[in-house]
Order: sequence, then C-alpha cells, then structure tokens
Amino acid sequence: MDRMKMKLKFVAGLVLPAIAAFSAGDPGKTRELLARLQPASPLAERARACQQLAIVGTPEAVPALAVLLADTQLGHYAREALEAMALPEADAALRAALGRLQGAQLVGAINSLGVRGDAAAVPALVKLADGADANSAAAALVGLARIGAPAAIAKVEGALAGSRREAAAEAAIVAADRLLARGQPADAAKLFDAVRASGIPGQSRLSAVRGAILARGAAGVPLLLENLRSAEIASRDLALRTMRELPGAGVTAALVTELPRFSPGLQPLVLAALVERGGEGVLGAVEDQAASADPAVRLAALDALGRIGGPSSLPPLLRALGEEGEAAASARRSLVQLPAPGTDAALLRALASAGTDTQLKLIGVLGDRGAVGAAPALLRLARDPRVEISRAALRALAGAAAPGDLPELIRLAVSLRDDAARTLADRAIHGAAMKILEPEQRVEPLLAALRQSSGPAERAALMRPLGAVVRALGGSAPALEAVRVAAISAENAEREAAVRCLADWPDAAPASDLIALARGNAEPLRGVAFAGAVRLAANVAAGRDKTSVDALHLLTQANALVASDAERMMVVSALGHVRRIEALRLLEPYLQLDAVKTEAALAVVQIAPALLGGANAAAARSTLEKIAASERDAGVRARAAELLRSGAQTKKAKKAKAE
Amino acid sequence: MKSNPSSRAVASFSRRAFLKQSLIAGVAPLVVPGRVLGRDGGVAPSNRIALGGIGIGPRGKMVLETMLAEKDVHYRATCDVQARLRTDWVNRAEELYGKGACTAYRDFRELLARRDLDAVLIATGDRWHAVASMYAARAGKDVYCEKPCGITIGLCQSLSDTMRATGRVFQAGTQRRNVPNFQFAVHLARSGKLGRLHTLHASIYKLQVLHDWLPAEPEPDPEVIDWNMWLGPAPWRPYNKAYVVDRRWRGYYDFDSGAKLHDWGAHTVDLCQWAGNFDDTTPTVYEPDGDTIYARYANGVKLVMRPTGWIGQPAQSNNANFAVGSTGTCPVRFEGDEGWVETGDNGSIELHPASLRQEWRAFVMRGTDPSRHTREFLDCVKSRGTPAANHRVMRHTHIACHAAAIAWQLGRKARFDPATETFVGDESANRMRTRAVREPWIA
Repeated sequence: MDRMKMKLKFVAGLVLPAIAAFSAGDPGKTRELLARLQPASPLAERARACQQLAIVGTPEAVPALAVLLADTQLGHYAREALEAMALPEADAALRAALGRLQGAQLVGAINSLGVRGDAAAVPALVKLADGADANSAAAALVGLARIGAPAAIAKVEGALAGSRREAAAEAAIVAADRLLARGQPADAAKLFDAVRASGIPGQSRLSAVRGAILARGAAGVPLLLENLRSAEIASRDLALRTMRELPGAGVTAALVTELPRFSPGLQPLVLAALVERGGEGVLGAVEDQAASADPAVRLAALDALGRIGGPSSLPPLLRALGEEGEAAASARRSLVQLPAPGTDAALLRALASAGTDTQLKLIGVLGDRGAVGAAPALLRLARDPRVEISRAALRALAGAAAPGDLPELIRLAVSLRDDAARTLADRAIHGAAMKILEPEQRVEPLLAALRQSSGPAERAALMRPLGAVVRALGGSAPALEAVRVAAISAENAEREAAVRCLADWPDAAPASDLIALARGNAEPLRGVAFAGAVRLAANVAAGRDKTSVDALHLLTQANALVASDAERMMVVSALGHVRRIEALRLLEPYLQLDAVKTEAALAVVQIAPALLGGANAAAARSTLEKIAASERDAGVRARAAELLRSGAQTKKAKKAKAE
Repeated sequence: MKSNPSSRAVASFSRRAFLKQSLIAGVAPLVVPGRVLGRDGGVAPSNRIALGGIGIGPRGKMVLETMLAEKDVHYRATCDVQARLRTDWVNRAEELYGKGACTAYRDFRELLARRDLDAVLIATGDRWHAVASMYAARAGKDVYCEKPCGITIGLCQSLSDTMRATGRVFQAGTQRRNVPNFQFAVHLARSGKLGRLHTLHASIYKLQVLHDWLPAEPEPDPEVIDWNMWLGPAPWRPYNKAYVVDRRWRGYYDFDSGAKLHDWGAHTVDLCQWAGNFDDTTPTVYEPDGDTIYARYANGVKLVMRPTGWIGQPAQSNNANFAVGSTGTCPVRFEGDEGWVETGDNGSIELHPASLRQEWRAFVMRGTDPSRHTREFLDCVKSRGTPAANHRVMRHTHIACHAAAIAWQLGRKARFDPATETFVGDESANRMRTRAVREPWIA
C-alpha cells in the first residue's frame, strides 16, 4: 500500500465519524429499541437492542447505554453501541464512565475511547497511564497512541523510561506507525528511535528498527545493512522483511552493490529479497551470483533466474546445465520456466553444438517447455542412431509436437521397429492429436494415415495411437468404422492390432463386432475379442456406459462362447448387473459348477431384489433358497437368507418398515 | 495452564537458538533453495520451524497435518479451551517426536510467551482470528491464520496494520491462491487471454445472520471447557455446549463473518480480486438483489457474488456444487470480451474459446489441498519472503466481503471508498464497519 493511501485511510478514520455526526441515527427505531432495552425485557433481547442501537441509535440512546456500561453481562453490548455511534455524546459518556468503571470494564472503556480517537479523553488517559492498575495503565497508553494528539504522544514517549516501559513501547510503535502513515516521517523516526534507545527487547524493539529504517527512506539503508549483518537472527530476519518494503531505486542499487559483500550464508536470503523487490540491476546481480563459488548462493541465483531471467540469463543457465548435480538440476528447472523471448531458439542453437549428455538435458528442457518450434529438430533427433538421443527426442515430442507435426510424427512412428521407441512415439502422437481444438477432428490425422497407408504392417502400427486418442475422446464413429475394416483383414498383424483396439474401446459400440470376432478367430484373438465384448456389455449393464445396446443379449451370446472357467467367471460377474429373470436363468447352471458357483450365487443375490417384488418372485425365491441352504460362502449365504426374510427391498418398502 | 513442562528440554534445540549459535560461530545458515530450506530429507535443527497451534479443531487438523508432514516442522505447543483437544494434540506430537515434545496451554498468551516458538497456526473460530493473530505478532511470531481473518472491517484493518508494523510473516488460510487450477484461471485473466475483463463471479453461501441465544446451560469446569476464553473478544452470552462441541457458532452475528459471505467469499472474492489485479483495492459500489450482490470496481469491472447459477449446479441448490458436471465447490468465473473461464474445487476447467486450454500445460494439481499454501508459509518463515495470501491481500479481500455483507444486511446499495475504507454517505454502514472487542482484549 502506498504512503498516500495509508494517509487517506488514517485521516478518514478520524474525520469521517465526526462529519457523520450531523446525520446520525433513526429516532423512531431508537425509541423502539430503548423500550426493548428496559430491565423487564429478556437478556438476549436487551443485548440485541444494544447491537441495533449501534447501527441506528441517536443521542437519545446514549444515557441508557451509559448506565449499562457497568453491567457485568450487558456492559460490553452497551460499549459496542457507544463505540460505533458517531456522536459526541457517546465520547462524553465513555469519558464520564472512566471515573466509575473498574477492572476489565474500565479497560474496555479506555479501548473504545482510543478506537474513537477522542482527543478530549487525553487528560483522563494520561492520569490512568500513571495509575496503580497495570492493565488499565497499559490500555491507557495504547489509547493515547491511537488518539495520537501531541500531548498523548508525549505521554507515551515519556513512559518509555518509566515502570511500564514494555506497554509504553507497544503503544509508541502504534503511535509512530500512525505518524508515518500520516506523512510525518521525521516525527515517526524520533519516536521509533526513542523505543530503540529505551533498551526494550523483543518484538517492540524489532518493530522500532523496522519503523526507523522506513521513516528514514533511502537514508535508512545504513541501519538496514547494520541489521542485515547482525549476529542476532531476529534482527537479521526483520531486516530481510524490511528490505522488501523500503522503496526506491537508490535503495535497490545500494543493496545490489552490497550483495557480494554479505557472508555466503546471508547472500541467498538477500538475493531472494532482491528478486521480490525487483528493479534495475537486480537481474544482473542474480546472473553474477549464478557464477558464485559458493554452492548455496549459486543455487539460489540459478533458481531465481527461472522467475526473473531474461535473454542474458541463458549463458549462465546453459553453463550450469552442462554440469552435474544440483546446479544442473536447478538450471534445468529454470530453463523450463524461463520467460525470456528467444529462449527456445537459443536452446536449439545450443543443442546443435552440445555433447551427448547436454543434448539429452536440452531435449528434455525443450519438451518440458512445450517448445513447438523445436518439433522439426526433435523429429530429426528421433531418427538419431544414438538410442538415448532418439528416445529422449520422442519423449520430448509428447510436449513439443503440434497438430501440424502429426503427419511426420505418424510416418516416424510406423517406421519404428523397437516397441519401447514406438510406445514413446505413440504418446507423442496422442499429445499432438489432443492439441487439435475440435475434439471430433482429433482422430482425423490418424484416419488419413490409415487411408494413405502402404500396407497392413503400417495400418497395424496405427491402431495403438488411434485407440489411445479414441479412449481420450470417449469414442469415435469414424474411427470405429476404420478399425472394423482392419479387424477383418486377411493379414494377421493388422487384424490382431485392430481386434485389440476394439477390445479396449471406450464405449459399447463395437460389442457385437467383438462377439462376431470371438466366433471367427482362433486363439489368442478369440479370447481378446471375447473379453472385450463381456467388458463392454458389463459396463452397459452396470450403467457406466449409456450406449444403446442390449447387454443381456450380448452376454447370452458370450455365454454360448465360453471356453474356460476364467471366461465363465467373466460372464457370471457381468450377469450380476443384469436385473432380469433371463439373467437368473443363465446363472442357475453355474450354481452347480465349483469353479464359479460362489460368484454365481453372489450375482443372484445382486439381482434378486429386483425380481422378488414382481412376477418372477417365485423363481427368484427358489434360487435364493438353494443358495441359502448350500452356498459355501457364509456372507453370500446370509445375504440370500436375509432376502428371503425381507422380500423385495424397494425404497417404498424400506420406508414403510422404518416408520 | 501448562500440562507438560518437560518440553523445555526439547525446546533447547530450537531453530532460533541454533541459528543464533551458528551465526555467532560464523557458520551462517543457508535458507533459500529447497535443499537448504530443509525439504530434502534430513533436517538440521537450524532449519526446523518450532510451531505452535491455537484452536486446532477439524479444520485446523487438516491444515496442521499438512505442516506436520513437513520434515522441517516441529510442533511444540498447542493451545485450546477444550481439554480434549489439548490432550489430542499433545498425543499427536508425541507420536511424531517422542515423549515431552509438546506442551499444552489453555491460555494462548502463555504459549505466545515462549521464546522458542517461530510461528503459530491459528484455527479457532472466526471470533478469535484477528485478535489472536495480533497478539501473536506482537509476541514476535509469524502467523498462519485460518480465514475469515477478522469478523469486521475494523479488525481486518487492525490485523493488517499490526502485521505490517511488526514485520511478521502472515499467511491467510485462503489456500486456493496456491492451487493450480485456480492459478490457471487467474493466469488466463491476468495475462489478457480473456481480452478485456468485464465481469468476475464469486460463489458464496446463501447469506444468513443469526441473533438468537441457545438455551443457557451450566458452565463447565474451565479446565474442561473454558467458556470465557472460548468467547474471547466476542460478546458475552450464556454457555451452551453446542457452540463449542458441535461448532454451532456458524451464522451468528457475534461469532461468524459477514453474514456467512466470507465462508466461501474469502476464497472466491479473493480469487476475483487477484484475477482482476485488485489486490490493493476493493469495489466501490455494492448492490444486493436477493441472494446475489452486484459490486463494481472503480474501473467499471463488475464483481458478482452469488450462491447459484454455476455450470452444472442444480437449479434448486444452495451450494450443491458437488454435482456431477459442475466444477465443484467454491467456483469462480472470469469473463472478458474475448473469452471466459470457470473453475472450482474438483479441478475441472470450463472455458471459451477452447484454444485457451492449451495454456494448461504447467498446471497439474487440483482440489482444496492446502499443502502448497502451508509449504509456502513455512518457506517464507525461513526466507522472510511474502506469501501469496499476505496481510495486504487479506485486508482488501476481507473488506470487500464485509462491505458486500453490510450492504446485504442493510438491504440497500452502498458506495465505498477504497482509499479511506469507509462507506460514502451512509452512516449506518459505517457504524457496522467495526464492533468493540470484549474487554479486556485489545485489538
């Protein structure tokens, strides 16, 4: 906050209530509230009346409120009203109460006068500041500080040498801070210095040092430096905060000049504070420290360059990147963040002349920066004979490749023979495709490549990235059409890749295709297609997929194709989501089959509640009775028995039971 | 009350003591980079922050646990008016650091008097936040204070002034400043990607003020529940267990903030202030209309505070932002003449045009997790840096919320002068800016 705004806020706090005094309150509401304030009213109502008088009360309310100030339960409520009212009568009532209140209530009245800035209260508060009661004396000193009249401040300053010097110091800080905000830096500095000279330790001394520095402006730099170099940690910490507040280019320049002369332990802290200050010379100083012989100073500088660095920061960062250890890691982080224009181009230039180790780091930086302009170079490097370089480039392309790079990236991917490299290329294709703004267009580059493909091997290679994009999109009709064609290819590799792609499809649109493929293929493709079909049908049955297909029909077809206990388990498990009598009938034979009988019983228990209240209740009960009598899993057996006891568990039935 | 004086031995290894020794010995501490900030495993005493907690209930637990997960934090002192919570937190600290690690206090002034503590987490009810924070700063402690930080404009001003004058590090618990999906939305607004901003939207609870008193019950033994200390600077009223144990103080004029507007508003208005580059000011006009308050900044940008109408939110909902398809609780929306963005606690981002999504690269974390916010505070305790939700940011956000709530309570349009932080030509509104704190507390 700048000084002028602080000043305005301070002045407003004193003046505006006085101006408002001429337009105060609501007489009608005041009378109504005063009636509610009578002792006959309930306590809560009287308290509430005070709080409402705080907002609308007129001078007429003041006497009744003043009487309540000594009340142990309502005294604070009355003071809440008087403290808020912009009326001279409220000041007078609070002043008058000083003579008759004691203890905490006296402290409260003193506080309120201080908050109101009642200059007429200064003589009374001066007397209280010298009184025997420590609490009211301390409150009086703070009250005087808030009022801030010359006589009030003089009393506070004088008390710094007295028996209540700690309370006086806290009060003096308040007063001096207000003088500073009011645009009286010389007066503020005098009072801050008085606190410093009083020898009072602790936070008051620290606050005074801060104030003394700020009140002096640029002339406060020596005191700032003295405290920055202090052996006392609290003073150093205070100076580190204050150097962020002290305004002025000259101050920044002085601190920049001084930076190398601080101890290595202090330099990172000062550097951080300078970065937060900003201003001319700071960047150069940070860049200089990026070459510091002290590791911690250098690390701090390298980290800072990521936030504030410019084009000139590239050489020190690149130098550090070429090293090992923490400096290189720090430089890498900063190079990824560096906001300077031309960074990507500079990194590419460095890439051209760097050794392999640094090239690897630079490639990673370009990828993490999402450096779109680096994609052509990365595509070239992806074909580099050095495996580590080509893989790093493929990895970086996931961040750097743009939709326009997809044709080249796809050509590269289908040409790769190594599966690990192809996985990285697929990820890059996925990353670039997902940057296409219109979701329905994201599969188009891959479909175009399919259309233009030179043969089945190439089409097979395209299935995996296409499937990844389709899964991210939640489905795609044109992609499904293309994959269906590939799934009936005469070429094994193409057919296998397409069937696997369909089996992982995100919605149930290819479920019937998969059933047909399970019928028409030998292992292992038959199994892949079967598992895919059952998974998609189960998703629909469980409500996870809203595709319009008949899950029961699909599962009935799948059930006819089961070739192992594992496949029976899949079907049985999926049938547990189909709440129809036909599903129950499909499950019944499995209740006799050791390998899946418990899973089948569980499925029956899941679907039975939907059947017990309808036309198929008898069939459901009969099956449940068998489970309750012979199922080996005690939990499933108990659930079957409970269903037989309670019948249909509709919401309506449950509610009726509860009532 | 001190239930565990044996922690004095532990305190002798405090960061302050170690730093002092090492400086005198010429072995200066290194503080700024993460490694030397003590976040890489083994943490020397010189880098361990001695932390105290005041009023650590359910919300405080969430925040404190993120601090306890940091290896450079040592929780040494806990304070609560409830014996049960004092015991719980001493036990938790002993789980982490061993017997005698943490001392319990009933009166926070005794905790603050300990010289070995660096910082405190204040997570009491709203009524205590500002006053306890100011006492902490005057005792030389850095402060992480849960929001809302002050229940009146006056208290927020005093809190901000105190933090400034003492030079302490202050972080308000408005952690969404350190949550990436919100940072991303703000980035779009501040970088001009949305064009010229014209409207900022902040979600708020449905506004409410309660004035009744719950039925009086016999006051418990202060050793079990200290009712007078629980009330603290708030007005006296008879004891009822529900205020303390069930936290039924919410919504009450005497205990809550700004007719509940701050509950979400301290976060969402804060994000709007940040997005619009208004961290040093507040709106100048507030106009209530039912549950919505329309505000306007001096440059014409509008701020709409509303409980409903968010993407995916059920029409009948007060705060059902958890609904599928919504962006979650605490949604904000920033609109410019070239685009808009809306986001909330579930991390999803709705925006227009879609090309803005490409900016998302650098932002990965989501939700309401305060761990980055608390980590930033701890780093600043060491570096003396300025955290994101510092006292200046808190001041203007909270005052904007209070001014809106005052206009709503008065049921009329109110003009506000951000330079003087007073209402213009409305004495009733100005009288509501501040409320006397109960004696003997001093704000």
